[in-house]
Amino acid sequence: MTTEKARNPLRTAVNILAPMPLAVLTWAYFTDRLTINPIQAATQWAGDIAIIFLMLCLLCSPVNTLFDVPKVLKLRRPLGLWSFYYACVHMLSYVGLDYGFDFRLFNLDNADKPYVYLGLLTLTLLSALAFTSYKKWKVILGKGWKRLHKLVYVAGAVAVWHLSLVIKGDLLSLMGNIWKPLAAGAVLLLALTLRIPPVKAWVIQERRKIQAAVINRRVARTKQAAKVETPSPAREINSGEG
Amino acid sequence: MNFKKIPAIPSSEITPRELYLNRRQFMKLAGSASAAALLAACGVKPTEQPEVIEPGVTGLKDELGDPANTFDDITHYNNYYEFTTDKAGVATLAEGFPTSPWQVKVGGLVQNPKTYDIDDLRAFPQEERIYRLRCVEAWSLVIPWTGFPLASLLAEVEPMTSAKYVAFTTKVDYDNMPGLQVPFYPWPYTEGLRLDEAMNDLAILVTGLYGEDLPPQDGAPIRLAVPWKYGFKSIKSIVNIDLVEEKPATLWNTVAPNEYGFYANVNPLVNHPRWSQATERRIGETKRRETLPFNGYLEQVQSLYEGMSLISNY
Repeated sequence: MTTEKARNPLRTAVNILAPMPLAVLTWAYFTDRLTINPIQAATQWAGDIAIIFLMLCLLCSPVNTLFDVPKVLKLRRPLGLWSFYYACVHMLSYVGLDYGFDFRLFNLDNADKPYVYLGLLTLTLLSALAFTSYKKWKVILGKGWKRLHKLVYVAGAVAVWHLSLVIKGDLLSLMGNIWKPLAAGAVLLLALTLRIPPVKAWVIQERRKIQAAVINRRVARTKQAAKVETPSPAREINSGEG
Repeated sequence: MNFKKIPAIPSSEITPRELYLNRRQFMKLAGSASAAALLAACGVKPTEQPEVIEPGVTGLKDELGDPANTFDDITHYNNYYEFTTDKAGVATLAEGFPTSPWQVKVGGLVQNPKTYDIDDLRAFPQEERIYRLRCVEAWSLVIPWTGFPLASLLAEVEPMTSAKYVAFTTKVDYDNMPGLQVPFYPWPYTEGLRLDEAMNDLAILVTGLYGEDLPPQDGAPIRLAVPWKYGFKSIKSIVNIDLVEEKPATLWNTVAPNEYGFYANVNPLVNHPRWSQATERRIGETKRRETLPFNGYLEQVQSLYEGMSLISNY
């Protein structure tokens, strides 16, 4: 397993790049570069990054369906885990930095806000997935593991819903500051659409046709090139021999 | 409690300009000072030692005793979507926004419709009002505005008896407001007040901040300040004021009617489908504070809403 891990440079890249935003965020926070309302900015930033990682995680499988790059599938676990870590930072920043763990104030503000419950649901789903992301759990849960981990799509949908409720505007009427949930929603829709079995089968079939055509063309070209070029190496060999 | 207490000396005279250097500038100074110290330690002689000034000490307070935010805080954290949705980015994008010449057309159901040049409006007797601004995003500032009561302008144009509401419109300037390219808003920005709200002495037209002309990011050259309502009601860079009979459409109420009511009175008690507004962060403070009914202006405005449900009329 470890050797297999070491062989995927993409995964190494993800694990090197993924903590960077947290480093930048921490630096910006402590050097007072996060506007004059730094806690809100930090919370929103961490939340945005959590959603970006979640969407990247959801894109792995469609990217493989479209482009036949199975290596990308190995990124689902690290991307999902990084999404979970950033979701934790996001939640801690809100509850800890913003409300100072003062749950009386927190409840005053949040007890009747649906987005808080949706955020909590996303975090619960992500923690269940993170907790069972170890190989050990794959063995224990057997077939159930795959089914359980399909919940990542639910987590993605709830996360986008959560995001659409914290912005100023209305996603359904396409008005307001909605570009973030709109973009995340588009990615989610793409990822989900490419999972629908007939759609997936059709895409793979079409992809294989294109792949086959490309291979055929390449073979034809090589043959043609071989025909044209055959005499010269022969001559060279001859001359070499002579 | 005398809320209208106005300092005898304008803030511009009692507050030296360099004193409203903000925390960020202070941090920058402190940062460069420590960088300078570091350079000195490395044997490099710094060219200039910046003078470090105690941040945010202006001595100005609102009537509840809370200190005014610094000039820099007030001018570098604004929602002004005609420029950008990035609150820290408005100041840069709004720099150089042309505010002269500027005219405000006051019309509709009035006896004397009139187009005012901005200098005519500056000629109204100006006073300083230190108001709290509570944004619907749950942050707040204490701001020393300079301006004059909206009521004095309305008195000049003489509303007809049929006039029930006042509708305001912000300038649309495609060349200088990049945010107008974003398709998701029914531009221009519009706002409205009931006529009796507009006549309340707290409602002012603002021309200045900290005794200086209003900077573009804060709504130059003229904006509204209605401190008992969420910040989005205090429309910026006004070009039209119309007296009308029907409740006018307002931008945020059009965008998300269940979220932004026409009244938008600051109310910590309204249980709302998406927002409750029980607490807020006063910029510069680390702990949240509880939001006050009508943003602390209950006494001055509660008579406007007698017998009216503040829950259904959010």
